[in-house]
Amino acid sequence: MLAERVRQMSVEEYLAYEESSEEWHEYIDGELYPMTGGTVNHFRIIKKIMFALETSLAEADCEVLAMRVKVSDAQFLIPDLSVVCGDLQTEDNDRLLLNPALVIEVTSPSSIDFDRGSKRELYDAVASVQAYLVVDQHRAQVELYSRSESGWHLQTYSDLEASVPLEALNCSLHMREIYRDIQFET
Amino acid sequence: MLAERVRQMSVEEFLDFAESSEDRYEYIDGEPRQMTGGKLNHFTIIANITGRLLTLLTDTHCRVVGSGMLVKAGEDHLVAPDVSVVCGEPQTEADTRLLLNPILVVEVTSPSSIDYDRVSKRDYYWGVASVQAYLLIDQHRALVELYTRGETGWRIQRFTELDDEIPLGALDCSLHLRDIYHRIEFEEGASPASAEGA
Repeated sequence: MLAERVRQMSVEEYLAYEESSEEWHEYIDGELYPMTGGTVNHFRIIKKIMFALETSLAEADCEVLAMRVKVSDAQFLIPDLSVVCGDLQTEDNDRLLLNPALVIEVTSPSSIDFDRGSKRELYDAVASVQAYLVVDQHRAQVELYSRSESGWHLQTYSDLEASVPLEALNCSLHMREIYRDIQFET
Repeated sequence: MLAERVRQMSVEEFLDFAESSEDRYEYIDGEPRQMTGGKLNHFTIIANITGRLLTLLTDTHCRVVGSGMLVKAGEDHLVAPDVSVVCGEPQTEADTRLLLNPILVVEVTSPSSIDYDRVSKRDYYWGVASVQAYLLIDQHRALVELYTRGETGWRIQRFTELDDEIPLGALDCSLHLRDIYHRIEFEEGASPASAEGA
């Protein structure tokens, strides 16, 4: 999620500012983008995905986190959820995650084009990211971007009976689990 | 490129409206949407690609169609790619005002429209079954995204080096980034979400 940019800062200033700030910001090329307030559906969907993944990955060497991800020296994003498999690589006293295998964004209308466009491109630079999941909170629709040798493959899921294959994690997420008990506005 | 909405109308009303208007419009979700004016880089890139494709496709049964041709993408969307390519017999509607069967569509994009072009237009073009590839060209930096139709979704490839070659399998040819960006000078710091230097 992101809203409009606020101010220009160096990376050092940004990381120090985030320590003291009550709200989190993403940082792209010198500019801070505040995380917008989430809706009930936003948090419910995150919770359901986290629960489903924690259950599926209980026996695996993977864990689900909600952390700031270092995309490059000048870009820091905060996906709603990340999954890391194997050794956790971090920087800045465990404040920055370096090696997520999967990143997940639950989008709002104001961020959806950015999440599906520019953010997907930014995550391209994180070599560990094998898949990027964009989950719509206003209708049952999930986009899965999977990295392959020849680029990214996009698959769109909108059927509640479908399951979203997460090959990098050797598991899948069921649409029904993601959207269980979610009421869409009409 | 897009600007604000005007009002709801039918396709027929839209075509009459577009005919009588001096500005150019697309028809999105049943509403006309005015296209913004482009800058020098935008039109130079369109000309570069058009020229290159015309040469490459000279002896084929494919033709290059210029900016402004409306492509029908479902009942609620008429979109105007910057360049289209049709192979074989062009299929049209509304007295050839609407093109139905492009095989390749190209959009030259600006920072304000890049995510709209990447996402919404990509979805509209997915709905045009003849479209095998969608080429998205950034006019402010050397970045081309190639969306190729696969069985279950788009395959997305990203090209950023001037020496890169973009394979257009459906047309049996390829485009070089260097040719696309011929005579283009990039402004410094023009891209808000650049992943370069990562």
